[in-house]
Amino acid sequence: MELSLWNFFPGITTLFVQDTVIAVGRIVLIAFGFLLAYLGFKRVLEPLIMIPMGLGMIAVNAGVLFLSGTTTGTLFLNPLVSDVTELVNIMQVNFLQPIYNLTFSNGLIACLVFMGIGAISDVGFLLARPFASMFIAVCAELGSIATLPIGVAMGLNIKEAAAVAVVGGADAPMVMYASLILAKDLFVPITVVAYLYLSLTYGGYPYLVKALIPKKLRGIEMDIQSMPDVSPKEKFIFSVVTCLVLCLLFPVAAPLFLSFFIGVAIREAGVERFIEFLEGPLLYGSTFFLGLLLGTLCEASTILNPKVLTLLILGMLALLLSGIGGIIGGLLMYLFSKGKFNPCVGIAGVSCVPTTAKVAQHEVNEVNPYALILPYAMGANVSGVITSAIITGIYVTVLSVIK
Amino acid sequence: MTDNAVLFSAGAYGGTFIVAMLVACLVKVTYVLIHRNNNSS
Repeated sequence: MELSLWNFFPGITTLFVQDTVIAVGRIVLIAFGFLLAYLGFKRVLEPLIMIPMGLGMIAVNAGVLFLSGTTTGTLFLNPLVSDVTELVNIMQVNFLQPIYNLTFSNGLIACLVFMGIGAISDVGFLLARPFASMFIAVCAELGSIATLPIGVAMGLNIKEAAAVAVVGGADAPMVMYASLILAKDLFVPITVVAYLYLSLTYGGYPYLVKALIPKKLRGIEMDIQSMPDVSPKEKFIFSVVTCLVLCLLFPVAAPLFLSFFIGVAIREAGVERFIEFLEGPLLYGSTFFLGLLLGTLCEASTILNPKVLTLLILGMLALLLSGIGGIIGGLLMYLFSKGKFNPCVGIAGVSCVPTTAKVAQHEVNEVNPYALILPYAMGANVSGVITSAIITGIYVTVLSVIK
Repeated sequence: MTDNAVLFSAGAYGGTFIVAMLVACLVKVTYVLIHRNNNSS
């Protein structure tokens, strides 16, 4: 009788049947999901991702049931199924399985988010000062570069280390794309780490700027009047030509380049219906499902991996080094321009559009309310998206041929 | 293995710098060509 009663509540019963580590992991992840959703609600973390992710995490770890005999599982999705017949059967049962297999595991959802990002990105600031913007963005890729050998030294193989190093580019769809190709077994924890840390950049980077840039330099006013006007025609031609060149150079990352630049091209061509679609339903619909699927992928038995701690350390290190690299770039530009360039622009080279550009402007305004650096910061920001895509292209192209 | 990773990273950084500057040059060339056409017409 007692057994039958427990069978009515498999979510609880499975806690006692599963391995203790998994059972404890489930409880911890439920609490963590609650924390993420709450921090999203309080706007401490990005609510667009954290609320669906937190709820997904809670539901998938609470809703574990017996599938057959003592085998446990959920009705959300199973990311580890590869057999075609089994996959077709499981798609009839798990409600998020079709979305996962048709949009997630092939990187489509990352591309859809990228189309939306392209549609909201104004490349005019980059076109006005291309060399300065690109130089800063390359400096802000320090984390994406330096984290790779550190990851290898910490025991990851070179593909896994490269996948987690891409976190330094501060572009979460890019991280997801790279980890799906380079480290499929670790793509869930790597992507979760990326989204978690990127939500924290808004809180952490201001301290980095204050620590590394003297107050006197933070208040430098920049010349906005002399920035050349860039017409939509120039921006359109730039997006088409750059897409062509980057696809020629890195065919493996061509879907990402196409997604970003088609968003830019449609914005500049002024196709209103498409612009509304890309920057509204497509971007926010994809972001919603991205958050929800990431949450439901955080089931204890999937995410509890001995490498997670290493990934947590490396993700943090990658973003920290990229921030430092960007500031070094800003300081170098200050020296090259003989004191006319505000080094705070450097932090905007970390391509978390438009968060880091806003951080740069905010830090400047704390010292000098009349200084406007946002156009320069947005140029570095958009360049950061392009350099992150380039570095992802190099990693994916070179490392995907290694067995 | 770590030495190889350092070499690979350095190469990737160099490659990124070159491609980024190539993109910047493309921007400049596009800008100059469009403005030259506008001025001549």
